[in-house]
Amino acid sequence: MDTLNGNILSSPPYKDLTKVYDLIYYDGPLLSHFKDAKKDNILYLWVDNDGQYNRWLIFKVSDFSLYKYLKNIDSLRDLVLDPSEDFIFTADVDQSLTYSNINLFPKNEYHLLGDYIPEEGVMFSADVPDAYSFFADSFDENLYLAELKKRAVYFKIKAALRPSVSSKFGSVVPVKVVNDFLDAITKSYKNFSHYSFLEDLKDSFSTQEKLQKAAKSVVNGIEPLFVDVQQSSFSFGISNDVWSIKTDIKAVKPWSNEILKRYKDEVIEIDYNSEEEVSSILKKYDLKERRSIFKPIFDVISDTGYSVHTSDSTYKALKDIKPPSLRTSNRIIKPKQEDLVALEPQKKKLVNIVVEIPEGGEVKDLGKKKINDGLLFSTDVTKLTPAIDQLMASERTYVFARPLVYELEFDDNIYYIDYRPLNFSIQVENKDQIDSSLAKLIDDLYQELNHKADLSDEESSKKAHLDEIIQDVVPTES
Amino acid sequence: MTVKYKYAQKIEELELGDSCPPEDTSFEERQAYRFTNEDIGDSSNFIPQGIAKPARINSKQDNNVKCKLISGLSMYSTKTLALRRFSSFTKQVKKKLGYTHLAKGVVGTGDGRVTRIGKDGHFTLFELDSCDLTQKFVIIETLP
Repeated sequence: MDTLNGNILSSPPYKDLTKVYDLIYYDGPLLSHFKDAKKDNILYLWVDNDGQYNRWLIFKVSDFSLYKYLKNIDSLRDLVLDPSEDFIFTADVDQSLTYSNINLFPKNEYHLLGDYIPEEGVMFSADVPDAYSFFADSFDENLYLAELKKRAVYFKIKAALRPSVSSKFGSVVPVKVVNDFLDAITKSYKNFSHYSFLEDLKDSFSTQEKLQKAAKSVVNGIEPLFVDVQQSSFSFGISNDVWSIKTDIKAVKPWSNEILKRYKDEVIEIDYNSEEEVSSILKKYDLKERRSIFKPIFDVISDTGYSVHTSDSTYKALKDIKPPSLRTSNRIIKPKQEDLVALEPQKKKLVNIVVEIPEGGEVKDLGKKKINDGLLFSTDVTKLTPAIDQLMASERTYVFARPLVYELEFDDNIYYIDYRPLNFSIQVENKDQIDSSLAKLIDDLYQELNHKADLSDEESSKKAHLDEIIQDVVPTES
Repeated sequence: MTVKYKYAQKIEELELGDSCPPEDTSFEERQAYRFTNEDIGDSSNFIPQGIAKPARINSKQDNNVKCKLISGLSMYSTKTLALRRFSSFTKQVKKKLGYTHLAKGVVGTGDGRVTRIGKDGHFTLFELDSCDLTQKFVIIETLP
């Protein structure tokens, strides 16, 4: 076994342990759960052995961390590195249950444990064992909310000391004010998250389409949740659920963990009277981005009838949120004349038309006048199912045995393309990108599946579908 | 008719008596998957941990645990569940276990008693003395 260089202890770190369950077992326990006298969760992960000893990594975990591991939300590495705990132990245990070579590793020495610390991405990979079903259910109800509250940003809206406001409602805040504020926070936070995701994680995705798709999915997943409220001066907590995000991209989770705090620091509590901060905003975001992130907040915190404060969950340590000066606000969000057109691009819609054309003629040959003359009727559509006979990728053209029918949705000037048999969704901003994006996707997938040795069940099914629909692959003529 | 278990002597030495194999096991025919070395004929593929690495047994373990360690072999009911479980092992655990391949076989009523199948597809086989799993299992793929 490897020599360890931790801090040697003379006795086991946790005593009076009662076995709860072997979470992972193969010919013997590999990960065992115990409770100590204080009912704390102590886990033993088998990491090494020789003829005389088994070496265990011993660590304490919170109920919530264990819950997240069992629900396949967090990895074993997340569990071992539970941020609420400051130490990990190792011990060599022999047949008589004598502990020796007991080492303590504080957080800043975890690197000394090398491969004993689980690598990224190793999940529990099974259903919650029956022994934990009650435990998991109770989390679903209570501790989930408690954890959301723990990471929440708290706000307090107070009626300003102005007769026109306070004499009418006292300290009570009208619903509309609250509603406007929540609406503004939601918009601003989601836009901030969206632009931050695109910028911060652009190197984690192989294509722009994948980045855009992930941004949409993750930002929806971490939308602000209303988790706590107090009456009187209106106080509330807003949090986000970072545990339900499903992604294979490792950088997404730590990014999600930080985004709400970053929003608080970079948008809400920022000092708008600091030239340095304002310059940083101007440098970081373009006007469209600035308006989508900062304008909703400026609108609500500039309402002089009310003051906005951030706080902790006790609502005691209030921090005043000061609106920017008019000059600063204009610098950040007021469009110049030449920007106005760019800010509000013409919104488009799709129209399905039935038009009469001469036999042997083609639609593309029709001019505007002939279309008008031959128009039988038209109707607005947002969804349709186009069919294509072939797709031309850069090097290869795919000819289909039968038309490939996909779903096309048009919303807010974005085209959303879904092809369910291959389980893909892409989005493009321009109609001219539809065929080329589809072709690239089919080409990449077809080539990948044809050159991969071991296919998963899902990949085999996709390959079978492609083989069925593709009649011929020919070189694309340049 | 009395049956003789493969590790009866060890069971006796640990004074596990009639509690090993446990009462809630049965003779059943089952499809089974097990992690092994590349050579299925290598007898170390089917040796209980408590025999191969006696240190894994300790005095504080209850009889059920001792019984499984000294005479039980882990199996999975499906290939999917076996591979899913293997993915939950850390790199270090995989290295220490040393298994590189997935083998498949059918465990018959004449091979021994089996536990109920857990939610993760795991069950334990307690082999009879006559059972030779090297003849019953074949390698089906390399483990990731």
